[in-house]
This record gives sequence, structure tokens and C-alpha cells, in this order.
Amino acid sequence: MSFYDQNSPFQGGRKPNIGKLKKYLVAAVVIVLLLIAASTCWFTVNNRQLAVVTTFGKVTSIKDAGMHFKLPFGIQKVYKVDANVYQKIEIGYRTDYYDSSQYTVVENESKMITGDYNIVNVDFYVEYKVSDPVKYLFGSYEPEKILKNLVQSQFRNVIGSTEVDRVLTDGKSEIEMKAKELVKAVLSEYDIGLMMIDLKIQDSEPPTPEVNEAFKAVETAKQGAETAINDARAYANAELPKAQAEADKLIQNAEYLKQNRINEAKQQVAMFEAMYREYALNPDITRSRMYYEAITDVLPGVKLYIDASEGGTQKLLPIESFVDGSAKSGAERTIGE
Amino acid sequence: MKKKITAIALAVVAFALILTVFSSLYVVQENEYVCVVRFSNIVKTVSSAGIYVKIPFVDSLISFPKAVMLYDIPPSEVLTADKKNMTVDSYILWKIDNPLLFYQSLGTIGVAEERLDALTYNALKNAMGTLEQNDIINQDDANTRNIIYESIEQNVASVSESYGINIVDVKVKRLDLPAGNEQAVYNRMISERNQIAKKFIADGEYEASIIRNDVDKQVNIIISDAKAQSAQLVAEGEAEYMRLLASAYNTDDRKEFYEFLKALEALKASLDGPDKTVILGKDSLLARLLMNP
Repeated sequence: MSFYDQNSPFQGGRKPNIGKLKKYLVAAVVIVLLLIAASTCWFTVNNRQLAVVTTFGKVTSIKDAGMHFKLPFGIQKVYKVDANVYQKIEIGYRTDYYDSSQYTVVENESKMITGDYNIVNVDFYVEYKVSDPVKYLFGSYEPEKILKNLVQSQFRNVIGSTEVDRVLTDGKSEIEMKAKELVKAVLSEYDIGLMMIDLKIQDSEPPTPEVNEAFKAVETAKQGAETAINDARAYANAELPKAQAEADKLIQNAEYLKQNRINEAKQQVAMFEAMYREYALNPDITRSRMYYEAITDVLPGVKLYIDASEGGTQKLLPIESFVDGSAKSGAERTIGE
Repeated sequence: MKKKITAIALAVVAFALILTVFSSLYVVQENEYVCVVRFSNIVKTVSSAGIYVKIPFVDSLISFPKAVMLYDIPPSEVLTADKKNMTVDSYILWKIDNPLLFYQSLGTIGVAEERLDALTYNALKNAMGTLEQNDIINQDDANTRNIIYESIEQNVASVSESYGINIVDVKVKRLDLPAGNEQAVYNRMISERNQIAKKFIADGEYEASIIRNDVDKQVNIIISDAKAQSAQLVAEGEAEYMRLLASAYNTDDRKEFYEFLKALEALKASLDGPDKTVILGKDSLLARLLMNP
């Protein structure tokens, strides 16, 4: 306000020059208009982009990176599209914008039902890029949202026909592949200028801590079973050689017994041969000698009875040991009767 | 003064001229249809982009979207043929095929979405009503669901045709058990896992016991074989023993001498030790010696 207050007297003072001022003013306006026109006459496109140019609404050209000219005043319009950039849609989680190591879970996207009626939480993302900027711009209104809906639909188709163990453990790459295939097939029908590049499962886990515990318990049980089997194998490894050793011992001992018996026979034969040689020289005498020797060996310490029975009466005459001194008299007495 | 009036008149004429020019031109974008309305009547529909001419001040324009639109239908519950509740969340991709027909029958996008919502819900309900839960949730090919969705799409598409609408696709993006059932499912999952865990443990123990039993069997067989082999060896020894001895007593003399030796041995053995008694016949040599010296 104060600015005008100060200037109004000054402007009043220059009234005679108003015609000239008008001319300058017109010139200035023209120059500004020209400048505006000129500034809207060119645009730049960077390496990540493609620019679609429309002339009166109709697509007339697509421009690469660099500086380009266009007609001003809305006659030509430029739509820049990040056509070369690989973009990502996250489903079931959102990576933190400021800290990419942090993320939040979006449970109603990640929770899904498997083919065997189990519920799992699966997070995944799709990578896509614009394959046709014109179709991307004008073929549909929300191409990314359409892609996201389609991916959700097809991914759930796949999970809904897969069993829970495969989803949680070793079936992931197969699920990714199948979902990718299905999405690609439908996406090409939609023809919205997007191309899917990849689909990757980030994480798949049971839905609640309690269920998770139960799944872990199965793992533990699996390990326990392995352990039991390994223990049994260890038992086998320990017991079998032990048994072999024992068997070997038995056989070796039997070998010894066999040889020993043979040797015994050989000894006896040798002894017999030796004795027989001597015996053969004079059999009767040797025989008697051997007999009495044996009797002499045996009779000490033996109670001797003589059966003196005649006819029907039985008489046994006891004879005390020959050797025992105290018994000797008794024996003699007995004999004397 | 006259000059001034002329100037104003000129300006007005120029302004009117410019206005007329602008009013007689219109631009159609790539993603729209533009209908030219003359006296409340659509006289022309332009579907390709570019600049066009109309009668100024008389013709007005209505534009309709030409590109594919996404309508995300809010989740709803449906019943399957086996009377199970399921939550269905679906979307529909549609576009206007015939703007005139669309304008006549529905008029606006909002009305169209309402109609599509009802149509799709009906088609979904009917399709699900013929299917059991197992037909939807199973371990068949994932594409079978798309075939189910296709029938829904065809159903919606056949009706939408009369609204000038083309249905690009109808797909279910979520087909879940209702939230109320979740806890029951979790409980079942837990019990299922417990049962699997028990089976693992039992199977492991079973397999371990098979191994152990097999080991025990093998051990017993090894020992038993060894015993048999030992007995065989001992028997062989015995046979050799007998053969050797028998061959030593191969004449009558030798045999007699051997028997005599054995008899003596037996005598010695039987009378070995204390408190033994011998009864002699009175005619035996020894008795005679004792009785009649």
C-alpha cells in the first residue's frame, strides 16, 4: 500500500508521457507472451523416460532422451513416462519410504488360503515396466492398480491350489513361476501397456504365533525322528562288529578244540603204539604185571568184601583197608574167622 | 469520439469472432469419446483423437471415457453349493463400447458401477451356488479358477452389452473363508500339525526299531552261525580223533590190548577216592590169595 502511496504523485507527474508508456507496456506484454510461448516450445526427456507427444489430442510422436521442440499453447502436449524403469508393486507389505530395511505388513493382502484349507501369510512383489507408453497412457485409467489386482487374483489362484507345506518350504519357486505365467497370459489380453518382468515371494509364514509354534514342532519332530534313526544306525555300527568279533572268537576256539582233539588222538596213538610194542614181546606177563600194578594202585583205601556165599545163604566177609594201620588187625581178624 | 466507438465495435467483433472460432472447434483426446449434442440430441459420436469442427453455440459436447476402467467391487459373502460361507473380493475391468447406448441406459460412470456391482454380485452368487467349496479350494491346476471366473465374466458381459459396455474381465482377487472362521481354521491347522509331528516321531521310532531289530537279528545269526561252525569244527576234530584211534587198533591183538588198557583205566577210575567198597567172589584170584595164603 505504502508503495502506491509514494508513487501515485510521481505517476501523476509523468502524465504527459502516458502515450509513450502505453507503447512500452504493449511491447513488454508482447515480449512476455513471446517468452512464455518460447519457454513452452521445448521440453527435455531423460534416459529413464519416453515422451508421448499429442497434437490436438492425437498421439503424433514418441520422443527419446534429449531436448525436443513442440508447438505451444496446448496445441501439442507432452506426457513423460518412466518407460525404462523397472518398477515394483509390493503385496502383503510396504517397505518404509525412508528406511528400506523397515517394512509394515498389510495383512489383508498377505493372508491367503492354500489348496488344503490352511491359511498362510505370503508377502511378494512384482516387477514390471512400461512396454508401450501410448497404451500405458491411454489404454486404461489406472494401469498399475489393474496390474496389482490381477496379480493378487492370479497369485491367490496359485496358492489356492498348492498345499501349505509347499507354500512354506520348497514350493516357492514353482509358485512364482506359475503365478508369473498366469499373470503374463492375462496381462497381454488386457493390453494396458505394462509388461511383467518378475514375481518374487519375499516371505511366507503361518498366520499366528500359535500356528507357527505348531509348524516348528513338526520340524522338531522331524529332527527327533532323524535322531532316533541315526541312533539306531549307530547301534548297528557298534553291535555288528562286536558280534563279528565274538563269532570269530567262537570259531577260532573251535579250531583250537579240533586241533587239540586230533593231537590227543595222536598222543594216545603214540602212547598205545609204544606200549603195544613192548606188550607184543611178551603179552601174558606184561598183562599180569599191568593188572597187579593197577590193583596195587587201587586197593589202598578200598573196603573189600569177599562173597563167601554157598548155595542159598549169602555171606559177606568184610576186609578193612590194607594200608590203614589201625584197620589192618581188624582185617586180619576177619580173614582169620 | 466516433473513432473510439469504431474501435470498441471492432474489438467486440474480433472478440466474437475469436469466440466463434473457439466454439466451433473441439479436441478429442486419445482416451475419450466425444458426443456432439444438438438440441438435446446426440447427433455424432467421435471416437478417434484429433481436432474437429462443430456448429458454434448450438452444439454442446459430452465426453465419455474410452479407456479401460477398473472397478474394485467391495468384498461380499457368498454361499457355496455345500452351504459354506466365503468372502469374495473381486474386480471388474470395463470400458464403454457404445457411448450413445451408455448415455441412454446409464448415463454416468457412478450409475454404471452400481449396475456392474449388482450384476457381478449376482453372477458370482450364481456361479458359487453351483460349486462346492472343494471345487474352488483344491490342489488342481491354478488356472481352473480362471475358467470359473470366465463364466462369471461372460454372464456379466452378456447383460452389459445392452448398456453399451464392454466387459474386459471379471476376476476374483480374494476368495477366502470368512473372518469368523479363521480361529477355527487355526485350531484345525494346529491339530493337523500336532498329528503330523506325532506321525514323524512314531515313524522315526518305527524305522529306528526296524534297524535295531535287524541288527539284533544279524547279531544273533552271526553268533548262531559261528556256533554251528564251531560245532562242525569240534565234530571234525572228534571224527579225526576217532579215525586216528580206530586205525591204531586195527588188529585183534591190538584191539584186545587196548580193551585191556581201557578196562584197567576204568577200574582205576571207579575205585579212585575214599570209602570205596569192593566185593570179591570167593573164587576170584585175589580172594583165593587172601583166603588161602
